[in-house]
Amino acid sequence: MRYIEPHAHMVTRTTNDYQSLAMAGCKAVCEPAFWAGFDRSTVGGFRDYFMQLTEYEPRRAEKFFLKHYSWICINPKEAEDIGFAREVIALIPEFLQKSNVLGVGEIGLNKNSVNEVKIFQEQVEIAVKHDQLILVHTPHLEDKLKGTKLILEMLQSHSGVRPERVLIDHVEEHTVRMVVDAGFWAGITLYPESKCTPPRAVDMLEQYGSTDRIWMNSACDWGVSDPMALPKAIMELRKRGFDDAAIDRFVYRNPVRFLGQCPKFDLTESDAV
Amino acid sequence: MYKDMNRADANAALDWGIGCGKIFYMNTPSHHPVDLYFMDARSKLIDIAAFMDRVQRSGETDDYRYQMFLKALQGLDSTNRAEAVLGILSDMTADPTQVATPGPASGAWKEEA
Repeated sequence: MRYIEPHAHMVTRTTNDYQSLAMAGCKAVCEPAFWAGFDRSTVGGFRDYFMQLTEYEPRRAEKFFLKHYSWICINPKEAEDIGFAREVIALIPEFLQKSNVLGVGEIGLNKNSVNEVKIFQEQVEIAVKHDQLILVHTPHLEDKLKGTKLILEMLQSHSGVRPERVLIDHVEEHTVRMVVDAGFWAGITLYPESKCTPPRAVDMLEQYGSTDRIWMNSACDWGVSDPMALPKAIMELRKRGFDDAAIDRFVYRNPVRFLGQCPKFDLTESDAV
Repeated sequence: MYKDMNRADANAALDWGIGCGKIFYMNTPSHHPVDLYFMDARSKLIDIAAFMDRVQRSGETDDYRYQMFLKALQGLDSTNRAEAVLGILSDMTADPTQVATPGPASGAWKEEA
């Protein structure tokens, strides 16, 4: 079954994972910039990473007939050093011009600190100024609820932010309603332990799927995560009685509708199954 | 014998049979939550019970994470249980912290942190 993996950190994955994604029906992989598992010591380290996201990974994906798109930003975990973060932010406009870059992301909060808030706001400003889509990371575990509320407040207080062009990711049962009620897109991340299981994801789709502003992703990275999470969620949807058209909406057409707001995203809802 | 079962029984037998490496009579899969998830939830419930026994034996019941875990169990009395449990484990303060706390999130809010 066709689907789009809208959030995967492929730089951390093996080539076998690209092959598995393609064989499972994946048509495109979207890769937000994120924390490498360690703090980078130089701005040059970020430049190299952004080059990897915009030049190298698309070629690796292409070998398996997969389209590869990316998002550019400095992640919240490396936002605590404001001066350093601003040097990285200065790189962003250059990379927004790259042919596979869909927008600014995944910006957001990690520990909900004052400096994270400042760097988040500055990157929202860049996105608005350059008319870019925004992909937002919400914090982990006990920090998620507060972080999501702070993020919503900041986005809603910015007159240049259009909710339909912002996806707020990693929602769970205690945050999904506030995100969709505010008119933003919501992303459900399927993690074996720390975020959401396929049965819980389907629970949320049953309750909020009619908004048509919701998708699922694996957010697979170097941690405990599963690049095959979406095919497993498709199986879960089948178990729960969803038909092919409904499943296609959740895993293909919804992502196409959000990502297609960027003219560089060249898959359409009517592309072949 | 399995073809005489109702759907729920047949599905349960099918699940059990697959678990034992056997193949039983196939029936239309059920979409009912209890049919689909009872065995999984039962297993997780026993895991929780065993976890609590383990923590008690180890004398770690004062750990703030365990205390918050016990508190979060109260969320099961709610009507929106998943949301309630997640809420109880969350930081409910409103203002940004002055500095990001070091290390990863623990999964349970520590009030004095």
